[in-house]
Amino acid sequence: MRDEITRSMNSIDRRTFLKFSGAAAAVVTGGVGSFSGAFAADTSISGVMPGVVLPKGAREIVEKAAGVKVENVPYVSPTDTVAKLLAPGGTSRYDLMISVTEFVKGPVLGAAGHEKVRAFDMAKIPNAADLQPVFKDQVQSRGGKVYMIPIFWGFDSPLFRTDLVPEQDAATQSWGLLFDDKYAGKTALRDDAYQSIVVTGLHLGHSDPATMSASDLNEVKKFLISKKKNFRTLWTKFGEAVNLMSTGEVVAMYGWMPMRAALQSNGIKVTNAWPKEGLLLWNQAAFIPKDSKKFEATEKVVNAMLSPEFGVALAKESNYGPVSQKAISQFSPEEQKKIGLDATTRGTKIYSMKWPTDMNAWIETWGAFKAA
Amino acid sequence: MSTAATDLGPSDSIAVKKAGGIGRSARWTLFALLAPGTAWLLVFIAVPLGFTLAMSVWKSTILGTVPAFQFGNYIEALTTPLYRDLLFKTVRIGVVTTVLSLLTSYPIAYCLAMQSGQRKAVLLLLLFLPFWTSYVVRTFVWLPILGRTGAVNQFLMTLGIIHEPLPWLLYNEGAIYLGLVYVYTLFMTLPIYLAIEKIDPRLIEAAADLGAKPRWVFLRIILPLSWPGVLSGSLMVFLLAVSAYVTPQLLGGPSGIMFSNMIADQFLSNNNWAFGAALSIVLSAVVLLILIVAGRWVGVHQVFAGGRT
Repeated sequence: MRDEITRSMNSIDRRTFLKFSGAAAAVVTGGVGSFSGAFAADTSISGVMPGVVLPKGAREIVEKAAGVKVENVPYVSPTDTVAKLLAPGGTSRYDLMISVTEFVKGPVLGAAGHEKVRAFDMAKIPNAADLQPVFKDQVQSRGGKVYMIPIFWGFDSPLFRTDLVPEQDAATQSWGLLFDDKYAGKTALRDDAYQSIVVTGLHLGHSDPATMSASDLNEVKKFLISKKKNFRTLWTKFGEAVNLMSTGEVVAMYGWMPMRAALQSNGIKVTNAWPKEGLLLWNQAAFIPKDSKKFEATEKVVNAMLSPEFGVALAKESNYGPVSQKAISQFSPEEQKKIGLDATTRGTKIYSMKWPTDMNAWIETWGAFKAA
Repeated sequence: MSTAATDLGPSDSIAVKKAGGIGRSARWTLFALLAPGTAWLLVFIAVPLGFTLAMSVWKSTILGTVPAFQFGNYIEALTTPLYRDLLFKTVRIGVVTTVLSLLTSYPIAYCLAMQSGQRKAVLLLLLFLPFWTSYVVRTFVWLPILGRTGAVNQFLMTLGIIHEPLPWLLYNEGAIYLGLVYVYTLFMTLPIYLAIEKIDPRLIEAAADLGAKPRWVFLRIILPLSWPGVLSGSLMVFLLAVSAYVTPQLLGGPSGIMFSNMIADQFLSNNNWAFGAALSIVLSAVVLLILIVAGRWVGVHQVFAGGRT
């Protein structure tokens, strides 16, 4: 044991010595530019991704396998992730980004030859070979080069308290649960124009809400306003939403699977509905800003995130789905059903998230509903 | 510089002009003294505001913002009823919050100013204590207090005063006022307290000796002399309230939207920075206009003149 500690200390000293020697030499020979280059060999990367992507156990697996520490930058939304990437200096400020594939792939890839991200060296990502077929189709390539790789997937659906809402109530089989007058004043939507309008559109019978016309949006707005009294509030953050359900402030809400996991692990009787209009399905892909100096370390992290070990840990901690075939095969059919890993095969209708044709009109519709 | 010039005699002035030394030196001194403040204003006010102004006439798409000059953002902001209505709502909430803050903070400030010694120190500490935590925490704390299963409802039910929780304690405009008044109390109380404390107590004694009733002492002496503090506090609370973002979102429920929330949506959800910038400029312009018009009526210049009219 003592030998291990001594060896560890020696290695740290040697590494630190080499790093600072390199930095000092760089300053002497090449000035400040080279100085920052010397530190580029540092074993930490900065990542823009939702916090739930790296819960404690999954983070340990990734950081140990890659030998790289991931420093999380606060995540706001797919749009904000794009804004961070496109902002001046954005392509060199971060090393790894993970966000909703369908929302960000357009601006992230940009025009051919003007990609904002660098292509992966697929020889460094051997775990990508184990992607489930459905996610192999989601890999974003151009000219034979791979720019975005799915890391995990999930779905959003109504969550409800089984001790306060009878599971046999037909309303629990629909997004209509959130608008049902029986639960007036006890439901919540997310304060997010996109997600709330999509589910309202689905509930009103639009099979592809992303393409709703102005008059359709007006219909959605009128419906939302007519049901406004039914919403206790509109949640904005993960903790706030979990608190709403755990205290009984609301009995049903638009929710994420990690919320269900967090509530269930704290003994709250909660489950998710399987709405007949369609689950909101999405996957999130990893991409490397094109001027990242630490792309090699980042590729190690991405490879570790595609490993079955990470996939299993993520599914257990966050209830998000792994993209690894080996990971999914480690769950029995019963476990898959319980967590919802069978979402794509259980026969429930699916609606894949996609960017609306006129997002500004959606923001105005949502604003008008709130201001009414 | 002017003092130095007036202290010099005529012969000295001629000598100075001939030498040409002190005048230049004084100019450099003046420049050096003004430089930090000017730099601060330039870096933290002029540049960001100028950039926001420039961006407001650009064009944004999901792919980014490009400097394509146009007034479309302003036309949309000024002609869409939604933004006009939100602006009115925001100004209304700002005014009501300011009035409520004044009504609650003035008595607090008055009581504080009338204390002395250790008691005053303790009361001041208690006033500051909640402000050692973050704005978000101070807003969030109302959820477990006013919620359906919160402390107030539990207390009232335990006493048998109510049998069902009162849902209207939270998630409405009243809760927004409560949250805003609470988080901005210090900004109103402190200037009023400082203004009252500066009042010479002999003025109050003299008024009382001359037969003035307490009501008239307050209306004719204390209130006019504390007016700069009232204006200063009102100005700060109004400006903070109209730009509130977190409080309406957390406490306002499904109607918890103010102009700042719409601006944030343009940046965070829509990637429409140009339109968000235009909305920001519109809000700033309207607030400035209100301050100019209302300021003339209430004598807002006293804030900057320290009460000297």
